[in-house]
Amino acid sequence: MLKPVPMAKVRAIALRKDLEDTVALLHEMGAVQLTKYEDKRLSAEKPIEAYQPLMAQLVRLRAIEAALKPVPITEKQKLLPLGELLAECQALRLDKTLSQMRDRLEAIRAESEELSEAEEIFEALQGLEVDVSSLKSKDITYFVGKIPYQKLVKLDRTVAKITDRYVLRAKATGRFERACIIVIDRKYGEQAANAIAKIGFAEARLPPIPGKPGHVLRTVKERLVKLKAEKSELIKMQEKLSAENYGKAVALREMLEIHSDRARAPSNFSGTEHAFVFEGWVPAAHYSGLEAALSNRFKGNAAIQQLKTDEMPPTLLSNPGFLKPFEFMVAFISLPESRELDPTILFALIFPVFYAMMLGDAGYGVASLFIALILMVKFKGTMLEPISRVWAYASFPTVLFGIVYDEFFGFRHADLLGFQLYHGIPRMENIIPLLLAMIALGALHMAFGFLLGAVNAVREKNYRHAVAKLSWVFLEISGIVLIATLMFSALPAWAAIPFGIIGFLALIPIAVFEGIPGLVEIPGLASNILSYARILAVGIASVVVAELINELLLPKPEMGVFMFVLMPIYLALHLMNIFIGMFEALVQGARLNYVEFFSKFYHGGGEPFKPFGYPRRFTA
Amino acid sequence: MDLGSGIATFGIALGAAAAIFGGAIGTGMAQSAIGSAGMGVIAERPEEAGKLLIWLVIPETIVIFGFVIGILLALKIGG
Repeated sequence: MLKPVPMAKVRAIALRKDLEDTVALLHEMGAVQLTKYEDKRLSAEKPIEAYQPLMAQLVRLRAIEAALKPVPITEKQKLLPLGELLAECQALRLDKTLSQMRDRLEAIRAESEELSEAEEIFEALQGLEVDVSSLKSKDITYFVGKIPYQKLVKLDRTVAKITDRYVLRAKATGRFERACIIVIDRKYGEQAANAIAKIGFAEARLPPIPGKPGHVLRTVKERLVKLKAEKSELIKMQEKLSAENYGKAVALREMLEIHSDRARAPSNFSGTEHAFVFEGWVPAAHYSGLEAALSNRFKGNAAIQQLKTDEMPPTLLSNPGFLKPFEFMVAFISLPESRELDPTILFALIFPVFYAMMLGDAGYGVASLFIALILMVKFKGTMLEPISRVWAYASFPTVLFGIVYDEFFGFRHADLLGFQLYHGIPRMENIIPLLLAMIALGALHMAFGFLLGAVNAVREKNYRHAVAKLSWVFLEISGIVLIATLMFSALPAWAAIPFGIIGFLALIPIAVFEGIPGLVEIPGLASNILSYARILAVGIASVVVAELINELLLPKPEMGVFMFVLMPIYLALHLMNIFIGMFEALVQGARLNYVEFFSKFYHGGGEPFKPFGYPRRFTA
Repeated sequence: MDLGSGIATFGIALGAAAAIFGGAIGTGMAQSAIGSAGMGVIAERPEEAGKLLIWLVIPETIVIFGFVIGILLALKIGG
């Protein structure tokens, strides 16, 4: 749990005649991340010949799948051999039908949109006993379209400024819109078109149907009905095609992806006329399984060995399921390197405590649990799911801290129960003791970070770095004692002498092993520790808002009916405060881990382990 | 309260407000610059969002300093 999965670098050699079978075996196992193997004495391999036709079919099948409507799939299909698969794909000749259907649906949509707009306009122009299309001649022209109602006067003035040889008729098409027709002297047509477009007149494209508006409107309505019928016919046909072919299309697409992965794999290999060599990373625990599988399958015609290398392996974390959301939080910043400590468990233990100390209200804790559970369901499969899980876990210590702080939706328990059960530590009345406690907690957290840094350095056999990290712990302790003694007289004055000496001695390894950058970092140590005051700052902000909401807006029975008006506002404001508190506590709690804690020991920058394989959904 | 202690209280309150005000403005200025640059990076490389978050949150410590000083001063008024 504290370390990523140990990886082994392997190299294997097999006969060329077994190349495709070897690739298939590795792909089925899904345990090896292939790496590029190059050797001057060998020639680089290429993807197998079928790769090009596979890719061509894959593009086709993806388009077919996208054009069909998804239907539930219950049965998995058997993976077909390459030749059969290509033949099967070619036999699925849906491309033309689907693309014609798609084009026709698109044309219907565009025409319906245009006609619906025309319908609105002609409905507004119904009283006009004139064939609109006849209004375009060598002497006159017209514009038909819509404009927001408050701009109608401006439209009239704009045209009037150009000429007085025009007629404007307008009628309401909605609450805020007016349909207009402007008939104007052709000489001023172009100038008017530009001017009215500038003030927001949206000219409509009218269908080329001759006749008076009443007649055109009837024709447009009839056409719209026909288009609707055609559309529903096409959709029925699409549904029928989907029911018949969707399952087959996704299975074939998956098979093509599997085969194209396999066809491309040899481009990582090198080989001779009769043999080929490949390299890759495999979890060390799976090495013997891989070795056995190769030897069983090829009866001694394949050999594999483990390599000693300084290369950094890809990272595979192995945390139990309930820690996965915290793994996500760690990887969000950066994945650990394969050989360093995996801080997921530490994050999972420390973060909820910081979060709880910030939100720190038992009522808010319970509410945040429900909010988190709703978000988890609503945003399943998105980035918000692991974050909601973290919120859900952290809501339990929040309730606990709420009890300690004696905060229940901004009330004290005595206010709610009417009698005192215990004496809590309300934040607003204990600011200075809590501030000191937060800073002490920060100092401990950071000292722990330095110790982990020392452990990491020892594991990397970098002993100088380890000594420097330990010196930081001594420097931190002595600094705190000196400040407590000299500034706050918390300890007898003589304590300053031994701790002064310890602090000075701690500076020496830092200066020697970390040089100028180490010394420059010393003020940063104080700033890092003070940074933990944010736990109190965020908490106090949340408490003050909760108390204000209770003081100003708490609905009471003596208010009468007004109580029911106030209730939703009161609840909404508390809900808003909970949301802000949840978000702030998440960001600030994570930050204290990422910036103040991780910076003491964590390298990050690991590359994720991507095994050669395929997560099958539709094939067996 | 006599005039002298009134002026002293006013001075302390002003100092507390100035501490938070300066810290908040400073943090805001730093975060606006980092945030806008960060958005540019995220547009091209969304996978770097996590690392950029670290840079974005670093200046927040400035306002925390302001908060600590502000609280210490404000509590002097009450006492």
